[in-house]
This record gives sequence, structure tokens and C-alpha cells, in this order.
Amino acid sequence: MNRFLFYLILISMMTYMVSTTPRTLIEESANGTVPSLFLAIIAGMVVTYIIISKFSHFPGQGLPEILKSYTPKWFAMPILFIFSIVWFYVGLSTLITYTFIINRFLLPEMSIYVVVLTFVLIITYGIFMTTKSIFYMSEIIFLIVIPFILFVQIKAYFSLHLNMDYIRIAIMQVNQLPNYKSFTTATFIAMGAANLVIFNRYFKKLKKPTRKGMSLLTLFFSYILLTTYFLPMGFGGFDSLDNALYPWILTSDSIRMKFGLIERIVFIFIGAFLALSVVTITMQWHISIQLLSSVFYFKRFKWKSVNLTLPFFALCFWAFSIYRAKTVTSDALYRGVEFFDMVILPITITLLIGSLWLAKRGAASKCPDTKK
Amino acid sequence: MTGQQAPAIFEDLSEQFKPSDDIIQTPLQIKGQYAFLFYLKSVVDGNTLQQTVIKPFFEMASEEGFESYIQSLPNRIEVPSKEKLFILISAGFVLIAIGDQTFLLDIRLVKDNEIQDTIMEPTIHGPQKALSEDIEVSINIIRQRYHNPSLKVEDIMVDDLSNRAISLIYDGERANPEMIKKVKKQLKNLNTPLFQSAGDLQHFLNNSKFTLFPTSMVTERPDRIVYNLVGGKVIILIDGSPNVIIAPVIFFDFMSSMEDNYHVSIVSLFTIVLRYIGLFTCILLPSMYVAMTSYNPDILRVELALTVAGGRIGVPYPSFVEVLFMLFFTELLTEASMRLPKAVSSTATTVGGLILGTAATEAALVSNIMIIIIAAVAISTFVIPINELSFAVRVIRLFLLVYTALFGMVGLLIGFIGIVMVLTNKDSLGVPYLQIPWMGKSDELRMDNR
Repeated sequence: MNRFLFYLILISMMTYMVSTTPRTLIEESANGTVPSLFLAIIAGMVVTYIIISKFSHFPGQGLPEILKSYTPKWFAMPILFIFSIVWFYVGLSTLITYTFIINRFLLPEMSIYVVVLTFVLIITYGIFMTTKSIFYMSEIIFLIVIPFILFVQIKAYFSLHLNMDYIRIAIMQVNQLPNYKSFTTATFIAMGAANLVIFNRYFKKLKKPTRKGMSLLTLFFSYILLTTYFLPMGFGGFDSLDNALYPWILTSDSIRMKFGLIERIVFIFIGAFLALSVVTITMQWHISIQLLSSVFYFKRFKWKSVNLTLPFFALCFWAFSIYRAKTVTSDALYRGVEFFDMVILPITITLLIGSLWLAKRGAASKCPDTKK
Repeated sequence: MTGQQAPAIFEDLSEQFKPSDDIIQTPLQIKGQYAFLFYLKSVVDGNTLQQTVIKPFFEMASEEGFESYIQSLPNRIEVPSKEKLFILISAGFVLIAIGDQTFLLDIRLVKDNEIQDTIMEPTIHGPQKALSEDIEVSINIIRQRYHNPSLKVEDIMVDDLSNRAISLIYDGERANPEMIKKVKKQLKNLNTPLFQSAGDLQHFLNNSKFTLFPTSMVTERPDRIVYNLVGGKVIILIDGSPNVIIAPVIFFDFMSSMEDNYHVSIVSLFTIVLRYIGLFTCILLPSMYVAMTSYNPDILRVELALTVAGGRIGVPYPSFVEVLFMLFFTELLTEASMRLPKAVSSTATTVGGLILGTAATEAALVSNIMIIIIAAVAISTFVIPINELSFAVRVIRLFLLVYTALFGMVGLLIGFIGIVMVLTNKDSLGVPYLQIPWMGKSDELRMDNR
């Protein structure tokens, strides 16, 4: 498997390690999160496998090209439009989550507008880059960031304050029935492969996932998911963490570098994940804007030979995200994300796989000679 | 005057060059033999002309004999079209007409052909001599270091007013033919009235109005040229400039010094690591100071935060003004020491350094720590081996500084990602500018099709 595919999946997995996922998981800790986690590992990997192998039938094509050439227009256009909104929403909720984190832990005096602006200025540049450049950028950021994240986690695992008993209590909940909320929340972070809807344009010779690749991916996913859930437990305790808004940040703030230039590790931690989140949002909004422009493209909307369609969409993104960041409350954000995970995510994935399946059938019927 | 008249082309030539006083149009004549010479006195080597053309003419028995003698001279070239002929004559070629035949001889007088020392990229172990200002000598230097029939030298005509000779040099077996085509097309499409040096030409090759990071490299080192030839790159030489252009280049080329190849592996690894630390320092440190003092002093450990804050007691303005103020003066100092004559520049730097270093802190205009930071930044800027990149870095850190001053620690982080974005989004003649070369550059490019 191509290494950029790994980055695509891993980065979106890791971004959600800090944000909303752990809280939802921990909230449901007494109601069968642990079995849901294991189910999610299986489900996430199966879906990833299906998506990658479906896309491998269409090398070098994004979803817009695939749908437009192999399915009827009345089907393709709504699907693409819905997807672009879904991806925008995912990016937006990531953005707002991180805006809240920054506002709470790093820059409490700064206005929310300014924090959002910090993000969107750079991200706007990012979403107009070519798909290839986004991959290169994500690789570099990933490689810079990963040592810090590993450092924090290793330090956490070896910390004296990590109480294994709490983790054992959490594991004891394994004999319950899995619950749907934890299951979808945990599955969501494995959905990086869905980003192929646009990023498949880069993969000219995408192959079906190999056994080695999938097992590596499963390993990473299991590690990330289990760490996401159990490590905060070990620091915060099984019962008392329910009220924590950002369990992971509390966890990393429990670790201290005694002789470091930076004493509180939480800053390294926030910085690293902040960088990952910028990459993720860039990817997601890049997808969103590309999908959107495949549905609406105003040929006449020009200024001096520069088509203004994409900038117009970007402006809409700005306006909506600033408005949303100001109006939404922390709680509403969580409810929104939960709703997304429980309802919209399954629908989206089903639609995606279904439309790819349809497109493949369309492709087969269009040129029956090449079908084997 | 009896017998023959000069050919019509001579009339055209003298029309074209009038009223210059250094045109010479002379007939040679002995016993019914005729030959006509046309040249510019100031660019033609008179001695050689006398030795190889005029003297043999009077010693030859017949016109035919002289004709075949001229024909066999090593510096004879085909007579080109009229426009090109004008250019060549003005470059020091001599036009000879014997009977109906015309010949063109290269008897140029070049005064600036001495080989220069390496100034811009000095090394300890590498070759100490650079190229020459004369293109022929430069090509000679390169050919003498790369004995291979696959080394191709192509002359390119570019539409500018000075009509300088421009040559492309590449290894025909290693360079990508697409790339060569692209470079040629770029050179053909230049529309600028005048360019004077490699740096100049490189600026026009960049092909966009606002560029910060260079997408082709200007170098003077023959060993770097050969190294890049082997790497399949295209070298552009321009007459009158002791530098050449290498294209395409990627970001990491600018961070490599030729010295890396001449040291023991661990030592060169050490210097490379040092260089990258320097790069990050000079980009991040000023902004970090602003972020850490004005926005998030809590990030640092308490003792350090207190020291920094204590140092700033009495400084009457926010930290970003302090940083801007100091950066501005160091930039001025750097600029001044570069432009001034050598004798004065040391005075300037001493005075400037003293004033900035001691007096500014005593006057409580800047903190002590600021001085250390600024000095560290200034030094680490010089660690970057290629000058163009260090200029670009000097500019980009100002952008980062502004972004940090506006948005704090988060601004620093996201601004840095922005810089990475700008770099990855760039390409040099289609080659991605910044990407991690896991598998060597050529494999990496093939990755795109995987």
C-alpha cells in the first residue's frame, strides 16, 4: 500500500484522539464501551478495506469523475452535494473543537473570532493547493509531530501516576452488551479512507489493500483506539472522568517534565495535535470544496480570467465557520458530533459504498468487453 | 581599384554598424588575388588575425590555396543568417570573403577570461577555483571535470538586446528530455529587454511575479555543477557571468554544501544536523520569543519564564516591537556589511554591534535576552549554505513574526505549517519543491504513478 494512504488514515485517526471521541467513549464507559471498541476495530477495518478496494477499480479518479461518468446525473449531483456538506461539517466540527481547546487552555483572553481566523487564513491557502501538495505537506507535518506524540505517550505509559487498577476496572466492563453510540464514535476515527473520494485522484495505481498493509493498519488503529480510551482512565479514574470535557488534555497535564525547558507536557501535546488538526481540516475542506465545485461551477463568475467560484465557496466556509464558532456552545457541539456519528456517518458510508458499487456496475455495463 | 568589389553583404554590414569608428573593412590584395575582411577592431584579437589570416594570405601562391587554408582553420564556423551574423560580428568574429565564398572566423579578444576564486560558497577541502566570466572558459572548466561524450553543450539564442551567448549543459543520458525541453521553452519565452547575469536570468525563469523561495540555483562551484550534472540536472551558462544556473532544484539542494561530500560521514551528518537546527532557529526563534513573552509565558518552566520577564523590566513596549526593532537593525547591519567596501564594513559592524549590543540594553530599549536571541538568529542565518535561501528565510521569518504577533502561540504553530504549505505547493519546473525523499529523488517521482 502506498504510504500516503497510511498518512491519510492515520492522521485522521490521531486528530480525534484529543477532541470529542474520548469524552463520548468515557461517558458511556459503564454501558459497554469496551466491547464496542473491539467491534469498532473490526468494523472500521472492514469498511476501510471495502472503500479502498472499491476505489482501486477507478485508478486516478475522484468520486465526482466516477459518478459523473458511470451513474445518471440525477443520482450523482445530490450525492456529491450531500457529501460536500458532510465533509464541510466534519471539518467544521474539528475546527470548532480545537478552537474551544485553544480558547480554554492556551489563549483564554483571545476572542473566538481571532482564533478561528488564525486557522482559516492558513487553511484557506491549504485547501487551494493541489492534492499532491497536500499529501507532501501532511507527510512532513506528520513526521515532525509524531515524535512528540510518541514521547508524550511513552512518558504517560511509564508515569508513576498511571494507576493500572483504574484501567483494570475499565477492562472489567467487557462483559456488557456493546452500545451503539460508543461503537459509531470509535468507528468514526477509522474513516480516513473515505477521504479517498477526492484523494484517489492522486493514486494512479491504487491496489487492493495487501494483507501486510491491513494488519499494520489494524495494529495502529487498535493501539490508537485503546490508548484513547484507557490511558485517560489510568490517570483520571474510572468514575471521576465522566465530567471532564477533554479527558486527554487533563491526562497530558498530569505528566511533568522535571528537567525540561517546557515543564508542562500539555503544551507539547496540544501543539502536536493542533498541527495534525490543521492538516485534517485542510484535507477535509479540500475535499468539500472540490466536491462542491464539481456540483456548482459558475463559468461566468470571473474577475480578470480568474474564476471566482472556489474563492466564493471558501468565503462561504469562512463566514459560516466564524458564525458557527461564535454561536455554538460546548454542549451543542458535542450533541452535534454525537448526532453526526450516530446517524449521518452510517448513512454517508452506506451511500459512499453503495454509489461506488453502482458506479462499478455502470462501468461494467458501459464497456462490457473489459469486464472479466 | 581594379578587379573585384567586396560582396554585397559587406555593404549591409557597414550600413548596420555605422557610425562606429572601430569597424574595419579592408581588402587584401596581392598580384590579382583578393580577399576582404570585415571586423570590429575592439573585439578582435589583432595578433591572431595577423598570424593566422593576413600573413598566410601574402605567403600563399593562389587564391584557391588561401581559400582551402581558411577552410581548414579550427576556428571557422558556418556563415549563419544575416541577423545572427550581425550579432557574431559584434561579438568578435571576422568575416572573410574570397572570391564568391565567405567565411566566418572566431578571433575574439576576451579580456575577462581569468578563473576566479570561490567567494560565495567557500569550502575547506573542495576546489578553490570557480568559473570564469567568459563562457568558453567556463565550459572548458566544466568539460575538463567531466570527460564524457554524453555531456551535451547547446547554444541557445534568447531575444534580449545584449544577445549574450547562453549555453545549456546537460548529461544526455541522465537528464530527463522533458526537462530539457521545458528549460528551452522557458528560455525562449523570456520577454525581458535585458539580463546581465545568472541571478538576473534566474529571476526571469521563475515565471511568476511574486516569488520568495528560489526555484533554480545560482552557483559558482564547478564541483557542484558536476555533481548536479550527474544528478541529471540542466545547467544554464550565460556569458559575462561567473555563475551558472542549475535547474530544477528542490529545497534540500539549498541546504546542502559541497563540503558534505568531502568529510567523514559522521562529521558531515553532524554539520547537516547543525545546519537544520540553524534553519529552524532562525525561522522560529524571534517569533517564539514574542509568543512566549507576550502570550504564553506559562509554557516555559517557571524559573525561565521569570528570568525572561525579569529581563524585560523597563522595556517600554510589547515584545513584538522589541523583536522587530532588533531584527530591523541586524538586517541593516548585514546589508551594510555586504554592500560597503571591505575597509569600512568592519567599522560599521563594530559600531553597529556595540551600539545594538550594549547601549540598547543599557538604555532599556531591549532586554538582554533579546540580544542573545538576535545574535543567535543572525548567526544561524549564515549557517544556511546557499545565500538565496538565507535571504528567503530572512523574509519569511518576518511573516511568521507578524502572524505570531497577531495570533500568539497558535499563530506561530499554524504559521509554521503555512510555511510548509507554501514550500510543498511550489515546484521547480514540475519537480515538487519540498517533499521527503524516502527512496531517492527519481523513485520518488515515479511514486506518483503508483
